[in-house]
Amino acid sequence: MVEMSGAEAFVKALELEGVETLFGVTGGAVLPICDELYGSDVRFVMARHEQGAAHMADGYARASGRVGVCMATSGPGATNLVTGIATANIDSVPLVAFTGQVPLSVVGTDAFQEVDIIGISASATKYNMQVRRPSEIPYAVKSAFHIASTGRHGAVLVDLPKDTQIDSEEVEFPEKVNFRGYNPNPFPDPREMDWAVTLLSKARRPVIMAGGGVVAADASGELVRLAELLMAPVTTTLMGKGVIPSDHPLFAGLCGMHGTGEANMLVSESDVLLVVGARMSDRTTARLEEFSPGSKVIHVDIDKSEIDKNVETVTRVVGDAKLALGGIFDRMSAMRLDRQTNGVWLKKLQEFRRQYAPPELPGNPHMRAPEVMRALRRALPRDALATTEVGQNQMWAALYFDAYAPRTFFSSGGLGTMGWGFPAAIGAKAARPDLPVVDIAGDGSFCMTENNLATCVEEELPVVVVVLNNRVLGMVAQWQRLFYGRRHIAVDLGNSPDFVGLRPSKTSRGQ
Amino acid sequence: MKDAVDAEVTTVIDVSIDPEENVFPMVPPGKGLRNILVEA
Repeated sequence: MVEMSGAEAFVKALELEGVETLFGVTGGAVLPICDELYGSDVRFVMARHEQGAAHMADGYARASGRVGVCMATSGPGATNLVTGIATANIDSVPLVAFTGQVPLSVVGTDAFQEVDIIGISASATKYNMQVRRPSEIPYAVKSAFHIASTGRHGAVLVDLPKDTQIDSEEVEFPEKVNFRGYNPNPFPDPREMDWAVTLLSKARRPVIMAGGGVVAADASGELVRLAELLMAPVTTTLMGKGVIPSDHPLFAGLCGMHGTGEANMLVSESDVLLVVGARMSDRTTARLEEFSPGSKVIHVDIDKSEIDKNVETVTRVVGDAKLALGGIFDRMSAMRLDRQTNGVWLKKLQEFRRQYAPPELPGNPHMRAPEVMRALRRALPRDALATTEVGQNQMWAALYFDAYAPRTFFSSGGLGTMGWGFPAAIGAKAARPDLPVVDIAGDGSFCMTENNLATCVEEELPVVVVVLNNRVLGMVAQWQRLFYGRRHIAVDLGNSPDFVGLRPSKTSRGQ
Repeated sequence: MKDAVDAEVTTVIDVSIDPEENVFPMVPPGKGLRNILVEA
């Protein structure tokens, strides 16, 4: 036990968690913490808006596999974080957000910059808590990192009233934390793996659908090994892109509303569908009643509450994807199956690919977006990192920009947050300064968070933003063209800023 | 693009595309996965 201020305990607790980078915007209710950060080894990357700070922490987490950390002051600082917190949480990204709060003595009085961020963020986080005493801070910090990064990863918010930062108390730093009722178990039940193997061994038309859970569990090696053993085509969700190299012969592309024809047809015609670390959202399944109608679905997921939530399964394996896929592989390779009979099924992959390839349109004189995606891919090394914004740019990137490894392609999948890609790219660059980072953007999305250009420059986190500039909110305009009789309204962006002229200093440039 | 990547400087590249260009393939909202549009 040692006496120190809450702010001092907070920074020490961050250091004990190994936090090197914190993304944030300062303000009145976090001044004591900022004062402690002065001179500490924790790098404070200053965003220009709190939403950007949360997305930077999110991008950092996705690129590094570590917990991303962001901080904001009370009131508007805290509410500005919420979109970023919800974006990370729905995509199961480990993120810890710290918010300043007005002193406990005035909580509930509508004090200056007071909001009930615990109430506001309750449904957008995996867990949230407000500290009531300085001595609670080390346990709260440790708990937040533990909850964010175990079981199904997610976002945790810790609210820190200003007086708990200022006051001093005897504190101790726990080595581990315990929560009654929260004991995530990564180990799959062997019987569940046996049942999965029984189904897979009889499959004539197996398909594997891989999601972000494969990335989170670092299980892409196990996934590819199993696919090759089964000779099963692999489709991914947006979150799973990269778990199998795009140029692997078994890769069928993205599945869903903007999936490839081959992926959607193979899923539709499969007899056994092995879904790993994916939650089968509406964008992936399309109309649920017609989703993979003839297949037996095996669902592998760390989160038991996902099983049978959207799609009824025949069997499930609850646990860590790496352990589950490894266990299934070991059992299946011991069976020495002859998969040569799968040639007919694999030929379907090629057939559907030919049948459903969208026609290549000539330039008019604009470049076509798929062509831009391929040119960008050719200009980058295989291990470059790419983020996307949301809308047409995102779907062109998902379809036509190849990814060759997990944790190289990042997108806001669940929440579909426009403006995510640019700050997320800055966070990814902070995590991996050794790799080039590109944000594949649209003009609409980029306008939402372009203010963070200043952060790139002053923090020396250079990223390349490729703006697919069509001067409209493209995806909405596409729906208006296709489904609303071309009645375009509220999509014209013809008066956006000149992106090439957006130059915060001499160390950034436009082309 | 290659130049921008190699330069290690924050760069915004403005690529003009057709405002009428659609993303395909697409399954229309409310339809099953087999209903794949590849052109308008």
